[in-house]
Amino acid sequence: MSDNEALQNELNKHEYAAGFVTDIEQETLAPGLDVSVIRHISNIKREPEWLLNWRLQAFEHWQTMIEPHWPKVDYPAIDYQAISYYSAPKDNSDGPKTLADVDPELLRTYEKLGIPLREQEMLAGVKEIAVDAVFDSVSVATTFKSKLKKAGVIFCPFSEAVQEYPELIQQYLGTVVPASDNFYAALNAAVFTDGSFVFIPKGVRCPMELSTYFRINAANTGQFERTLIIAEEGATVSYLEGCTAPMRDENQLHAAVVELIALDDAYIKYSTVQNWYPGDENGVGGIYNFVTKRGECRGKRARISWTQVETGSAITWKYPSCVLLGDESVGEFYSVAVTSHCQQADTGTKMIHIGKNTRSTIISKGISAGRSQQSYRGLVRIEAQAEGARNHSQCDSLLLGDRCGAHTFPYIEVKNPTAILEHEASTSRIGEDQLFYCQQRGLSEEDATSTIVNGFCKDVFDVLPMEFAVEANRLMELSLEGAVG
Amino acid sequence: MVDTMQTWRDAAMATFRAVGLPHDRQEAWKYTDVSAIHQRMGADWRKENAPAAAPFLPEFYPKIDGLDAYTIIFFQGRIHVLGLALPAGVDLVPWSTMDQTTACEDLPKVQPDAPLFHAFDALNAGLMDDGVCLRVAAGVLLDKPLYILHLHDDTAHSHVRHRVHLGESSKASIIHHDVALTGEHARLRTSHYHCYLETASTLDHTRVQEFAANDWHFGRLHVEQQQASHFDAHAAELGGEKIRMDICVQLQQASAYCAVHGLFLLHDAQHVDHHIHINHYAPDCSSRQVYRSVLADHSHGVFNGKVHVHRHASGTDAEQHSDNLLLSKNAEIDTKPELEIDHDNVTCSHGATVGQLNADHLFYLRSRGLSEAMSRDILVFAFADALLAVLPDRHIRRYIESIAFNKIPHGTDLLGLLAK
Amino acid sequence: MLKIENLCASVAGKKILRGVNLHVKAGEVHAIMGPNGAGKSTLSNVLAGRDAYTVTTGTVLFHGQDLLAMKPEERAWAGVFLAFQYPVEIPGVNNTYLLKAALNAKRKHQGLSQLDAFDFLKMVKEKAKLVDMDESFLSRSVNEGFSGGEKKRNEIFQMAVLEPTLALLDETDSGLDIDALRVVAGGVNQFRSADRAIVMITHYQRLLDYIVPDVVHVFSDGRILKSGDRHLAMELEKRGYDWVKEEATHG
Repeated sequence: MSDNEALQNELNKHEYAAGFVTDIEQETLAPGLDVSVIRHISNIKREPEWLLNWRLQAFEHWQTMIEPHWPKVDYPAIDYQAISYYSAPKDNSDGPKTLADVDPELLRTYEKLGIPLREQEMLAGVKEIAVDAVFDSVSVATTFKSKLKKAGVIFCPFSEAVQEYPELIQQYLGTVVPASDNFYAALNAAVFTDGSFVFIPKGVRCPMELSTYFRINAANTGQFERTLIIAEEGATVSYLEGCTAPMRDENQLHAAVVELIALDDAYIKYSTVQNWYPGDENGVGGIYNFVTKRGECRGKRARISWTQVETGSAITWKYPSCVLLGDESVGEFYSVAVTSHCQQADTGTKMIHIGKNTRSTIISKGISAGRSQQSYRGLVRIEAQAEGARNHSQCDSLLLGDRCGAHTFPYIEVKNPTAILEHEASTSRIGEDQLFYCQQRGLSEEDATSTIVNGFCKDVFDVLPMEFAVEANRLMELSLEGAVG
Repeated sequence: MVDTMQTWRDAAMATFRAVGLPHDRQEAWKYTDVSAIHQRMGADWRKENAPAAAPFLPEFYPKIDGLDAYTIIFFQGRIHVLGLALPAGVDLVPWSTMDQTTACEDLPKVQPDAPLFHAFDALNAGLMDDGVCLRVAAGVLLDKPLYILHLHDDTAHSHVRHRVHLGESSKASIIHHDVALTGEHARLRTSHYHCYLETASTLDHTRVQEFAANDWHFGRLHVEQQQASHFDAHAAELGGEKIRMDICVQLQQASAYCAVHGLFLLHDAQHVDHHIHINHYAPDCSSRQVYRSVLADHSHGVFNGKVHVHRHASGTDAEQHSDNLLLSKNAEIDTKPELEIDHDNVTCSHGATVGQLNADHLFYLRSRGLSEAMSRDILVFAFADALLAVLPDRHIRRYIESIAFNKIPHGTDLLGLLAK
Repeated sequence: MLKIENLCASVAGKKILRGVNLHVKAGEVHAIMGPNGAGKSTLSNVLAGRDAYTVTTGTVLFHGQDLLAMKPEERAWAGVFLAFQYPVEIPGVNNTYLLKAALNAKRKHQGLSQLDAFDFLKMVKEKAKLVDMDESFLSRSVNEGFSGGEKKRNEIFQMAVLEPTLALLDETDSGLDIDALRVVAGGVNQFRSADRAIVMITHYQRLLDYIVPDVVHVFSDGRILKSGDRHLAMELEKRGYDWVKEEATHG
């Protein structure tokens, strides 16, 4: 290996800071998927009969389904029998504990990732964030639970919610994304292991940001978590999701389901910074991220907002959606997706207008670099009964380099004559005159590019929660490093 | 070994059977359901037609005031009136008058690998009634448009297959006009154009469609363009029950330009679906797709326009516009302007709108004393007319306008108001 | 400060500059005048380092350094500023942000600390007053939706903030009405000092009434045909350019 190559390798490694492995004793199920695995998971979680049956039904249905291949992504067949469906740090299988009981090695892991788990260590002046830390198949810690409880907010691991609030789970689980919704949602329903549960009761404004941090650690395991967020009448919550995984040469599957339910006048803001390991510069390794995220505005004037910055995962297949049932409800989707090297992303949103005077906004900014392929796929549907619906969509793509691809597939279906809808999209590269202008003003080519890319993404960055904006910027810079020139 | 026409047809029908009818689980047929074809078209729609009966009387022919063109007439897909004195260098021969060997060589091939290919194109080849082979020699400029009138009635299905070849720096303008008398029987119509544009040639292709209220139509326009050639397509979809057009433009050499325009004026339960696929293979080509639809009653419009910029197509400039007005609670529009881009040096954009009329405009007209209903009609008309204004032939424009007016409640009042 | 010797440059194989010689000393203001298509804008673009232009021969020394060997941003750090004839719009990029990033990049290059956000904003607001620019322009995207005159004003404002030592003003007066011209010229005059130089390219003598030059050059067919003091500009205004060309060919 020449010095140059060694240096390049070193640089490539530095690009993904979250790529380390935590050395910890884990209990991991042998690879394979059958009814006994599902029973085993359900048993570990001490689940009620109905939930086990729900899983088994989902599994039965999943076996009749075909893996979808309509997204514009390309990957070798996944062997679902070669994946382990449960892996947890030892001693954590007995359910939640206090922070003092958490393995110090795990605490160090989250420290390294910059996730604050020790409540008392939050710096004065910094806004408090409650964190649910999900490590492979289980939640290992949830902070600020008692403080939140005082406000009436439930924020806990999904498995804990099944024990503590079974009636809420039974009422809402699978009502937005049914177990039979699609191939990966069905798989998730059969084998999901943990996730976060959030319940904001009527009239409550959640006193702090809630966040879940997903970490895949064990090799050859899939992560299948489920998040359920319910905001009752007039409730408000801002929720953040982060995710990382070690660097490995094998691909790992992540098939999550997120369900959001907003009742009258409720507001759920769901923000994601997706930083799964994207694979190396030759497309080796990385996470397959096949995720179903959907929110229902069930009440009048309910509002659901998806905000996401995505730099990670080898393959992304994800369409956070809003079903606007309530009159005057609002759906929003703000997304920045960056792909480089050999990443593939087929992502977008769906806005289904059913209630009267519903409104939706889509702003999607895609940046493709290297040899990556990125597609925006979106659906705006105005049903016949959706009087007075409004939609505005803006989907822009920026190409960096001549070996990448950027594709746009917007579906617009309108069945009501009072609808007003505008969709605009553009695809281009950075203008030479823009680059030159910035360089003339003294920015290096790389700084100029990142400045222009930032400007390109401004509409989305403006709506990111403060806590995420800095992180998002840093990630963007990292993932575009070396993409210029 | 030279193919005879029958083996040519048999091969096409074999392809038709092998491909199978499109179904709604195919992406390109998501919004257009043809499963009722057997029920609607009767048992014989896959069979060759018997020789055509005598055509209907000339008083039912469409009258396009002022049109000065070389006219040829087809009836039920077969050449009926030819007898043209075309300028030197312009060669127009119906397949039915050629010897079989030549016809088999020159007929547009069935290309299962071509974008947007489907079974009905193979069916068109297999059951073809007739069509023409038009060749314009290098440097020849056709002085008047070629007006190809296709007359149909409900006695038979009809299938036409045309070929157009423009030599270097030549120029031609084609007006394809379908008129069908509505009768008791629903009929299947298919059409195919294969156009080849040599370097720096120019082709205008205008298609005015007035099929019978119960006709189905599957049409295909396949265009291959060489360097700096210029292609303009216009379509006015006025009649028919279920209409599907597939337009494929291959920009094979540098600096070619194409523009595909479409206007849907639909009512009752009409269904019109245009799929467009423009491939940019070479540098510095431009393409435009400009579509507008006005949908009344239970009508359903579908626009699916794709621009695919391939690896070597630097300097591509592509635009797509789809603007739509729904006039009724039961009308539906599905629009999907797609971009697939594999080169970074491009300027591509698309826009789609579905919406009501501009409130400021409406107010302005009403403040001048027009009723609200009439003001709306004027604005609807103005919306549609933006596409008619770019038609190359003004007589055709006036003709379509008069039909369009008849579809609007205050149409006759409007005619007086807007006539120029 | 600036020494241009026998500079020849071409764009897309077409020769535009055919041996330009120009010496500019600190404190001086030079006006370059000449007919359309003479290569005046090419000269300013070549000096600023635009890619599309190929320098075939000649040298350009700026404070003794080889300007042509430097990247555009390095030239900016060194103190070269080009007020563009057609400033581009950059959607989403905040005007003030661009300036701050530009200024800090230059300071970093000079080994200075980054400017404090508060101080920077204070300075920017003062400079905005110089060119009578509304503060609302500071928070808008670069030139996006600006009128022609606003764009030009923004250019001079940027110059005032970045404080270059050599300002190249490429037809900064074109598209300005008389009031705007006065404001812009006022900004330029305030910028004048013993350690700075200005090279302005213009069609019109009008600008020179407001910004009085030390030297006037007649630029035609890719080179300087004649130089003189400001009276030369007045003579050009009266007699046009043709006599200069004739003088150059016959004399």
